[in-house]
Amino acid sequence: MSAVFRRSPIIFDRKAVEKKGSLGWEVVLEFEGEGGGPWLVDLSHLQRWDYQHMELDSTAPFGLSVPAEPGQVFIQNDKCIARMNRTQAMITCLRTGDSIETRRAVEFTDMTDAYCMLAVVGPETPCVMEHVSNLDLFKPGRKMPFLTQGPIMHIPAQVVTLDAGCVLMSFSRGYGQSFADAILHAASGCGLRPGGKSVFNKRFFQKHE
Amino acid sequence: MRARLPEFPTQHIDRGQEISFSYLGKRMSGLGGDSVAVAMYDNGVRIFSRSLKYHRPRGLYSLDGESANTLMNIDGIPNENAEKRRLRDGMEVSAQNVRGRPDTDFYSFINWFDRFMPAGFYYRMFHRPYKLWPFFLNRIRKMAGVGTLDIHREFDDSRRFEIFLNADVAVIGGGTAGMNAALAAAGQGLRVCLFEHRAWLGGHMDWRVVEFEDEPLFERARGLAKQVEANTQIRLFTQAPVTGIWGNKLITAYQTGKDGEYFDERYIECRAKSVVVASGCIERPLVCNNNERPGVMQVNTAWRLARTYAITPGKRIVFSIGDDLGLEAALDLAELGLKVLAVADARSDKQNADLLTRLQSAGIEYLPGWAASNVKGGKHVRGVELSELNGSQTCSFKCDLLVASAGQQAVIGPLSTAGAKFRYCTETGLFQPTEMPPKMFSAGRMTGLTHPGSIDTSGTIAGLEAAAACDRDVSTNLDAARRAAAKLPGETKGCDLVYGPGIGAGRKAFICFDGDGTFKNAVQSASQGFDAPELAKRFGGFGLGPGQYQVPGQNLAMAMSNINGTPIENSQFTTVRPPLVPLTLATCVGPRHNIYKQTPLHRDQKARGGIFRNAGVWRRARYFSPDLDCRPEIRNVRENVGLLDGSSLGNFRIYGPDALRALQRVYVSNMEKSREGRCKYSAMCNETGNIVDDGVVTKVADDNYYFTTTSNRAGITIEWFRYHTRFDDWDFKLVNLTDSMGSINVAGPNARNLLQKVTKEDLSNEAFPYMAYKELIVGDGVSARCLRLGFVGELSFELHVAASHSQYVWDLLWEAGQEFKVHPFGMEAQNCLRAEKGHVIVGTESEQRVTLLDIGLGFLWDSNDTSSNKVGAPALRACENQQGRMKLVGFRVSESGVTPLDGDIVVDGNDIVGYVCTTRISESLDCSYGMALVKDGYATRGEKIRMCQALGKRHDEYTATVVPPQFYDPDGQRLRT
Repeated sequence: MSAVFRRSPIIFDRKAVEKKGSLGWEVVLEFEGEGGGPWLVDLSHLQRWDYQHMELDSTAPFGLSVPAEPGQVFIQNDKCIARMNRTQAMITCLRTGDSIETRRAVEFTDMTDAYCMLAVVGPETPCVMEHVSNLDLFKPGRKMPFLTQGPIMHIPAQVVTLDAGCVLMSFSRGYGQSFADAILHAASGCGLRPGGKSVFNKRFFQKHE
Repeated sequence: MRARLPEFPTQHIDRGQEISFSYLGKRMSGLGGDSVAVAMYDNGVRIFSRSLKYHRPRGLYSLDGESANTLMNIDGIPNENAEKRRLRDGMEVSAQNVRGRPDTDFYSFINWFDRFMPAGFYYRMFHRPYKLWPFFLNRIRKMAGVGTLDIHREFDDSRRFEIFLNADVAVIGGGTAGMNAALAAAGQGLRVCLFEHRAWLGGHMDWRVVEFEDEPLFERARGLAKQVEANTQIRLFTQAPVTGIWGNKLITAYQTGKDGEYFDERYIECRAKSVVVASGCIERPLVCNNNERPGVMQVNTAWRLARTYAITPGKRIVFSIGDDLGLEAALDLAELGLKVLAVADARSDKQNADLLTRLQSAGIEYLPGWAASNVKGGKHVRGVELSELNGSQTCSFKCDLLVASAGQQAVIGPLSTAGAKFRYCTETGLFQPTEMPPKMFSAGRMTGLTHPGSIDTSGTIAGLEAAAACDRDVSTNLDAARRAAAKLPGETKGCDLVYGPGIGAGRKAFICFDGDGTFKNAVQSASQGFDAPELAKRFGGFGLGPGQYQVPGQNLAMAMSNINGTPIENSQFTTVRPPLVPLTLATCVGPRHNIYKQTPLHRDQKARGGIFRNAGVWRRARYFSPDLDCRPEIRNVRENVGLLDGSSLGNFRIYGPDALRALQRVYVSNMEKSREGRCKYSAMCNETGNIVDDGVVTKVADDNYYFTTTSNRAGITIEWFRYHTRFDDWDFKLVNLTDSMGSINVAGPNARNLLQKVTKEDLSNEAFPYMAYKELIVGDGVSARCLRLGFVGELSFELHVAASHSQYVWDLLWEAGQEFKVHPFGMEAQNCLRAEKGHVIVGTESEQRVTLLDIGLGFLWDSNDTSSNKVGAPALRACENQQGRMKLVGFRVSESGVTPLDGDIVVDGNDIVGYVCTTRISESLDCSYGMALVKDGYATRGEKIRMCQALGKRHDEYTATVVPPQFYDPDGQRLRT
């Protein structure tokens, strides 16, 4: 019997230079020939939780403050909490290997496997995103990070704009591979190519630590 | 390539880059920056195509694709506009709509038969006797039209992209008005997108050398262009014609890639908060006899050939013009050393005095109140007759080029598609907007301004107004700009010439070049009652070609007013529709990305030989062998054990204090009977009692349920619950787990033995009976939800595991199943197996005419429950005892050698009384069987029904016997074992 493994919905057609095992996932930290960006990073292994509560404002899931308005996003303790609507929030652990025990809490549903999560990282992120979506993801004056719910390449998605150089896209897991192939082609003119998790770590954690 | 004029800063060519191309097999060359048409003209080509109807020779008339004159086949793609297509090395160009070569077109004789093709001839001629019409129709269709698409040729569309922009202010037009508008809006910190159809900014100032404020206009425009390019708030799109403005300020355009760019063409959508249209003016063609003969061209065409491309447009040039720009052009060409013989000016007054003085100094004959009346020659211009407008005097000039225009007309296309209303202005001679859509502003020449300072200031004002529409406080700047504008010259008197003198019947005086629409055709249209421009447009074929309104637009309106004797200011411009400029369908479509859902086991299934088919949003393995009857797969499940990837199945979690009430509402069964550890099969109906979904529900804990849906319904299940509980203030939460779970169905007599090898749980029939639910640990600690179901009619265990664990679990089962010779089976095998068992698929054995009761699932409905307000219950109650409803029946085909098909119809004489939902040939039953929906009277067990199959010309009938739909193991012993 082989050891338990978990598999991402996406395989990039690139050779991995550095990998790391975590909770059964094999996470690629760096791909060969990553170049100078922008990068498409597979973050499907990061743990995600759906949290629903009738009195959402008065709760603090995992000790996290819940944003007051739908569309607002807070980053706290390497976790991203995005308010979806009046009663629902999505919580994502942004650090590989981070996990939260919630068996006893009925309000939580583990959604790690429900979504494929991709990050677009690099200064050309706006260029990439305008090739794949008509959503206004970099609206001046809107406080980042923020959540937008709408289509990316005609697929319903939750998009968190972390900053002008980093966007997180979550959408139904089944679309993962064909979506990734499509976005790599659609944004090839911006130089988009696969990147390892380190690319995201460098961008995100250095900025938020 | 011929010797070009000396270098001058207005030029946009790269003399160091010689580009080779071929035209009709002859090698030619041009320079970097040339368009295909310009390079062809430089190589001596004068006849580019033949006209649509009369096959008259057509030459270079404009440079921005205003007519179909220069539609060519370029690199195998027809209808490419050579005026807009940049020259590239190795291009192969050929003419279209010609038989032979353009200069010796076989069909040119048709020109003499125009009497037989009056306006509306297509609707009136060749129809008597009517049986002759198809013959002529066929001939006309073969002869008419332009390019021919080679449908067998593969075109590379991998370099076509799309881009979506969000802007505060969008500016259409990169002339100085547009640039000033963009800079003014950007100065307020707004995001600005600027679209210009040419490859460079500057508009009509780009080639003008006259000075304004001690600076040549072209230098002034280029200085402004540098400011625009350097402004980080402005995104500039050149070679990007706008194709329309739609609701909510959505602007569509497309952009042609320059050398070295990653795309050939890309489709653009820009959503803006406010829009400035500064699309400028184009020339209004002079309507006179033979006004489209090769060698007649617009003022801007001749001017730009010389100033932008350094090409001599003609050796002996005559001008017939209607505004000061014409005078300026004539002077400029003369100053470049070209032979300008005379200038006829349709105006009698309001000319720029300075220009007239300079014209006189240059020795150019000037004829005010005159215009060209007839263009002489055959395939080329050989001379021109100029006449006084009242026809009292005429003189002739031998020339090879007539530069002709009747003044300007506003480019109203973008505003028109946005819904603006227009009215002819007798002062400016332009159709100008009288009613603008909200948050849209116009600027520049299209407003009737001609003074450079006025044009610039109008752009600034429009840019600031657009900024104000984005909630910027610009009142101070706006007041200052308006004060500045008040000190500058206002609108200029335009030319109101409708047609040239001595036009006569106007048999060869063309209003529309694309459709060969003449002045005579306009008169004919009016005489037939089609006297409004919109009617004449359709009856006479004006402006229906690829140039749309650009050549005929204003002239048609003016001509119809003139013919009808009505004031032009009451005339309406014909409706302009998107796309404003032709673009390829491939560009509209953009990159054809095929995005679909894959199950977590997709790659594995593919590696095992799975043949995939689309199933809703999913792509699933339908077969696992070239035998599309799937007999080995079916046999393996019936006799041994098979594995099915069923991951597209909908999975949901519902929880909260009112979860049960919500379940009671949407499911037809009594969901209070859902128990922990048990699966409850039920269905959902719509308001009319039609079954819309089925699945199983299991209680996980108090107020916490897990349920499945069909694959197709998964996407709308949450909305379905929310909609049907919208008036109840219930507290329940739903989570869609469909993509979260992989589903593996282990089915067959050996299913238990196989599964037992990967889990320590007791799977015996006593511990885990039919319709039970367990949470198992499989392999090395992977959690799985296990549902003991029997959709395929055999002992089955449905494992739901986390999607990311699915491959691990499949591998475990595969390894453990080797001793049982386990084999995967696909959707087709599953379909055959469940049909043998008589299990229905919603949407296959059900439709909108049948209810839950009609397809034999009435046992699911808790008809005693009236308190839950179950969706569909009133309808079910109403039709519970209704006679004459369609019924689902099973059938066996009585005749051998017949292969029935899904969709075959059930007939009684000439009446259709039903149809086959699913039918297959069963190995285990040794016959063809199936399920059909039939009218009530044909549903009796033992009834012989006739079925009919129509396959092309074949028409087969066969007989079947009505039987219960449970063909296989009707008592359910096998799945309960």
